[in-house]
Amino acid sequence: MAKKVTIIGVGSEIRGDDALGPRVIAELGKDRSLTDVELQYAGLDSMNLLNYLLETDAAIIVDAVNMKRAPGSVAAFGLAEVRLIFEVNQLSLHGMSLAYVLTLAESMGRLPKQLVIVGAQPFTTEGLTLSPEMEKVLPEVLRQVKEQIAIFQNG
Amino acid sequence: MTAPNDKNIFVHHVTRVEGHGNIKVDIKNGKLVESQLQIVESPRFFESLLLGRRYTDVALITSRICGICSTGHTLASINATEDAFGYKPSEQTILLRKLLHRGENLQSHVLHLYCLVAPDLFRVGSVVPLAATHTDVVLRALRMKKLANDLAELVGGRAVHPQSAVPGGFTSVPKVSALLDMKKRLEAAVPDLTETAKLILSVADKFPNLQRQTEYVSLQSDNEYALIAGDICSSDAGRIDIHNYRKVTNEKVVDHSAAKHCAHKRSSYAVGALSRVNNNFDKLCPMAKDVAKMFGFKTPCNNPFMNNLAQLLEAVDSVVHAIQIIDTLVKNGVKDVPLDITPKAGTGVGAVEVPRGILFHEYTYDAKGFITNANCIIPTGQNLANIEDDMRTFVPQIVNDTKEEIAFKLEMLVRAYDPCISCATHLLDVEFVD
Repeated sequence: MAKKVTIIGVGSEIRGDDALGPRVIAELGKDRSLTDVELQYAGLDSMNLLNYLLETDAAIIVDAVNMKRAPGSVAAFGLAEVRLIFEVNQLSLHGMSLAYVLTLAESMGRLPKQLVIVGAQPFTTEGLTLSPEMEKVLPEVLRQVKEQIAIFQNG
Repeated sequence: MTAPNDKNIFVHHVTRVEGHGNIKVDIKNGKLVESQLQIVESPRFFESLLLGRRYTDVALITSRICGICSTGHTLASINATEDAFGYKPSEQTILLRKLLHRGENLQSHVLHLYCLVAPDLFRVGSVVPLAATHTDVVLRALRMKKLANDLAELVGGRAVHPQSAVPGGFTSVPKVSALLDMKKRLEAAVPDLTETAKLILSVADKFPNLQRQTEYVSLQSDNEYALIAGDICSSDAGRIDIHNYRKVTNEKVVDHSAAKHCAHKRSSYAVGALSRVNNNFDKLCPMAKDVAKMFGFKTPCNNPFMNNLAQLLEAVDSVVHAIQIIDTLVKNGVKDVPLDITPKAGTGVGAVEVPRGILFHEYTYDAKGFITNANCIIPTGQNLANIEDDMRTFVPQIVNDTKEEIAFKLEMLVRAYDPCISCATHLLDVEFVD
């Protein structure tokens, strides 16, 4: 049996391209070729996200990310490769950001041993669905997520 | 030049609360001139969104007023709709609603105490430094939050914004086996509650001792700790029928706040866990009363900072009561009953104790079940004037502290109310006269 990998979709389903995370989870759910994966939709509940992170050794987080690159750019990166930008005191119950949750898990010494974020630069965060432009990028996001699953399971 | 006894304090966007509010304090010659909690969040027009909507949609829409008390809004909405139609829910429906409500009460209080209040008591800026030094504490908070989420999901179909609770009952009911599993988990959570109480007790001396008498308003009922039904109870005026809620809330517009202020018998009144505990302490479960004893807590308690302790007592009460409700449901057997509610023209009021205090929804329906008028009065809006009155009493007591310390203590005061500013913001309706 291959190693279990948890894929966590983050973001709001009704904020344009921020729906990328939940959408990827939905698409992966239809893919019968995937084995030994756990698909989780964390939505906007950061405490849920933290729980999922604490329960796994290998996690792939999918989210719309502001990488300051051209809209539609897709990247897979580990925490060592980026600087997370957030204001530590700007915490409310709704407003705990992904950056905040990752920092929290790290300071507890409980980050998954293998962790990668697959993100795409959004075109827009307005509208009730993914933008048509992001729909075109979706296959590439799915390809990179599956590539990471294979790396985690075989590596 | 500012004189040494002059202090202007402005806290832009108080952190660790919901939404955006500023604290403004002006001290001249060591005397308080002005203190305000400015609400700068934009209004959200939910009442207007409801106009013309069918009764089946209404609770789903109002649930979105808040991501923390979505269940409370759902239940207040359902109560108002059923009241308007003259519908009386079954005993099973009431029990399931109570169970769902307990899940939310626990979710919200655990999160507030651990993530928003604890950093003040440990004098750290957020929960992140705590996670490093008190990992077990944060893990416990997560465990309890997950339990509360799962309880809400078991009954409501989702951890937030419940789907199955609707006017007339439930569109799906939990299986007895799932209820029994949940009961085991709730029983196993009792040590976590005890540890939570010990933790807060260990830092309880950090709560300032502010004493100010005010009017405490909550639900009250003869035979239970009232949360989703009952009369309004005012510590000044006694019992009032919920249909007369406007005589209590008396909403008025003030110029420094996008949310209206409320007042009843005094210049302000308080709602929330402390009001509930003050008005209904005798109805709490024995374990919650034991925790109160640990803290030497007695009612009436006039220290607003003790709202945090009242939340702890309610968290304990919620776990204990959730177990009892499950026992009753299992004994009676849970039946999947079709909905049998019919619209009727009329006006109805729903009042529910959400984590932050008493919440009112009032709707008027036409004969086909479409809304023609809606009014929602949110707990944080009711507390705003009371918070300002607290500040007026508190600032002269701490006026010799440094500006930073005064600001810190005032933020702590605002946070004690666990305010949900985004929810409280709604604007005046106007009608132009030709």
